[in-house]
Amino acid sequence: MKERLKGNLDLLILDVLAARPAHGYDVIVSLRTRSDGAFDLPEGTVYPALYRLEASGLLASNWTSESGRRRRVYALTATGRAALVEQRRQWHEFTTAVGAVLGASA
Amino acid sequence: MSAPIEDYLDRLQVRLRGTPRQIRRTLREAEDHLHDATADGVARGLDPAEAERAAVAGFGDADDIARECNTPHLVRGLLGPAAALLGIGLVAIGLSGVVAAIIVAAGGRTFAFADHVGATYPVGDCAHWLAQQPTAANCAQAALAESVSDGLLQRFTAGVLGLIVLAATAYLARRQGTSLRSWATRPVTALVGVTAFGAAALILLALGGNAVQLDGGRGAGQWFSAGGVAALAAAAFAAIAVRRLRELPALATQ
Repeated sequence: MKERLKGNLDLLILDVLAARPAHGYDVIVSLRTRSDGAFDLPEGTVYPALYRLEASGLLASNWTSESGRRRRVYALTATGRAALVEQRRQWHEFTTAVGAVLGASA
Repeated sequence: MSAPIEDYLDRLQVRLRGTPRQIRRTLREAEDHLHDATADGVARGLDPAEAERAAVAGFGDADDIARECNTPHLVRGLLGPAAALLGIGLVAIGLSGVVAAIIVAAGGRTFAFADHVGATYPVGDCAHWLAQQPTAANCAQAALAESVSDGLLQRFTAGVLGLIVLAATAYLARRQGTSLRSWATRPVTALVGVTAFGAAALILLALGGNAVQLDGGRGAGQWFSAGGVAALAAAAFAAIAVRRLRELPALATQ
């Protein structure tokens, strides 16, 4: 499960951030909550993924002040929104194909 | 006295590689994260020390996190955008060939590719060109016909190579989980693009102006065709750069 999750982490992070800009801890909490606890990665692994997505131009980030604390907040760029649409489409194609194969052999 | 978060941050710091700013940023985000996780642990009923230990355990091994942060994203960060720019540059040369071909087809062979007034040609070259261009009446006409065919062929070849480079770059981008568009529209790519194409446009248009002024326009078309395409590419990259740079301050207000 963990390896499969890591392989799709970029898509999941983009989707979480499509709802609203968030800092790293928020992203992890959202992933855990939305997956009913199934997606329980080592929490620190979200940061290399965020840096990678930012370097690819899909996210942008800024330090913001929240309740007196500085936090690095990430948000989707226009390119990131387009990439999310494309990655969602690819994911649906993939799951449909896998479902068809598994359904045929059940 | 045990301080799991401080100990963890010490371990992480000595393992991180990169610029001082990047290391400070990673440590600061990790520290924020660990304190948030500790606060959540306390809210769930753990005692503070236990919550700190749980937060550190949940964050992951410092070696693993540092290794992932240190992984050089050379392809994503540098090679991908550079390949996209190279491909776009080659395609721009190909497009300038299309413009030059239109000028030639419209009867502007001399305007497009002729040598400057008073150009002389070695006898050996003349013999070769006349053999290649049997319909040419003299050496100057043969030289012009050779310039037209060679000039167009070279530009079209560059354009085809550019399309191949862009196709290969798009494939590589997909394998990296991103897209050619993402690499081509990064702020840094746009800034390099506007600078390179802008400088090329200025130089090429100046050469064209020089040919108009000194040689009555003979051969000016080759410079104007390339300069015009370079100027359009520079304008496109400038628009991308402005749009991408505007996105950054907008985030601060969200």
